[in-house]
Amino acid sequence: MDLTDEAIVEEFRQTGDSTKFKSLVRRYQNRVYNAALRILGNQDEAEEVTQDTFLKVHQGITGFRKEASFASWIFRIAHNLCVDVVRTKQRRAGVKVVSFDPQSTQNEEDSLDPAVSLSQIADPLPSPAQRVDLEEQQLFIEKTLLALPENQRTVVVLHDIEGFQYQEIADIVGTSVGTVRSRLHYGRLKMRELLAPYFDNQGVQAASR
Amino acid sequence: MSSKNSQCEKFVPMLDAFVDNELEGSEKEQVVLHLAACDDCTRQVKEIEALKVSLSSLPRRQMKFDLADNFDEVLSRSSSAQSEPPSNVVPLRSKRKWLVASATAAAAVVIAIAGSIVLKGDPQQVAHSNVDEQSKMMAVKSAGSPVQNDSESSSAQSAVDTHSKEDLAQTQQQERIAAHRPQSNTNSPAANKTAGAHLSEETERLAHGESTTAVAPNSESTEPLVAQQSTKTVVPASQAIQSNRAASSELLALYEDDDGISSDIGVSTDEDGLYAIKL
Repeated sequence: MDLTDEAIVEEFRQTGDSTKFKSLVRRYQNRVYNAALRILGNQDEAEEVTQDTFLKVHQGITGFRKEASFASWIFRIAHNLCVDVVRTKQRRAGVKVVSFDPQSTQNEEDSLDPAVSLSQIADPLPSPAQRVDLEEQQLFIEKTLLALPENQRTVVVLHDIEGFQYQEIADIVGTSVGTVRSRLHYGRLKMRELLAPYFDNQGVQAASR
Repeated sequence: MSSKNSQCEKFVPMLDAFVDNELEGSEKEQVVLHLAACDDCTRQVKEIEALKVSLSSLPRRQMKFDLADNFDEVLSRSSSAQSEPPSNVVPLRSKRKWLVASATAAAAVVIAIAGSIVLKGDPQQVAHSNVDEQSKMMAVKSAGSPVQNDSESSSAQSAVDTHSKEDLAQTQQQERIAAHRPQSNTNSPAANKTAGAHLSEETERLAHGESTTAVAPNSESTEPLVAQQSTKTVVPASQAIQSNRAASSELLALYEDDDGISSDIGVSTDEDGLYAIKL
């Protein structure tokens, strides 16, 4: 039976055995990378964030408290690094924020992402009349996800892709459960609007079938 | 109809949490009741479920390399990157050394001013007007015996310690003497002689090296007190200047390329010390 993350952390803290730490890296590296890639939309940045995440985990593992799960802790570090990357890019680009989430623009300070309006996706989706295969469908969804404001995208990724619960997401991004609920609602609503031409009730539209 | 729409406005924001099974108690019951009577919201629930399936079905992307296998290397690269400043920034000296150098330089300035006043005016008058009693005492001791024993030194040192910052020069002087103490820490005449010779040589060398403002010690002088005082005060000053010259050389050397070409530099300080930045 596999040891829990927390048990491995404890063993590593007691013995300093680097193979213990590497087993944690092996367990989480692709999850962290995948989430960072979905949030940032850039492979190099996602790799850098993943690498930096584990460096920070290694550096701060003695300070890890068991109040939150190890998974939440590691994703919180990764999330903070993603936010840094997004903000750095925004500063360089001088991007103005256009948010789809009325609450986030009015009430939240962290809606600083290169949000786009429905017509602003750089690479437009094909016409619904066009036949699309599964790979293309997935590409649509990936692009639509990247069209969300960063704070909504993060919550959608953490919930619908990484499978975290609302409370865990609130811990990871440092906000309330109510805000998580709101961001998830507006994020999905926007995705549904963007994907509506391709959607039936079972998923991406049967135009390809 | 309008009542149904207003009900939808209330429930639509809750549908995602309902689908995610994050609603509890009365909220959940109300949504269930509403869905039983509202086709539009039921359709939205199905859309949300379908979107969730689509998102969770996205391919899991993987790192191009196994970070676990390479973690030792990543860690060591990170450590060396953190320990090395940017290529255009070079620490010159530690904060402590910089503070000592600053204090020495300050002492040099004070003593140089005092020295020039001494040389311009009547030495005796200057000695009486500008040199305080503590300085005189130190000078007399030095004139009488170039090397002090430990007790003399400690009493002199404590006297200096109780003095204000204006006697920083004398503190520096004491430190200079203390620096020779390992050679004179016995009271044997031989040791004293050796140490005395050292100090005399140094005094003479520094006095000559200091330029014409330095007054060489002269045992034949009719004004031994003033002469000795002047010489003694010049010693740390010249030493400090030499020290600063050495620092300047060090600075230039640091910024000379392999070809011997010096780069334009700026100098900056922070809490860790003095830094030079290539421009």
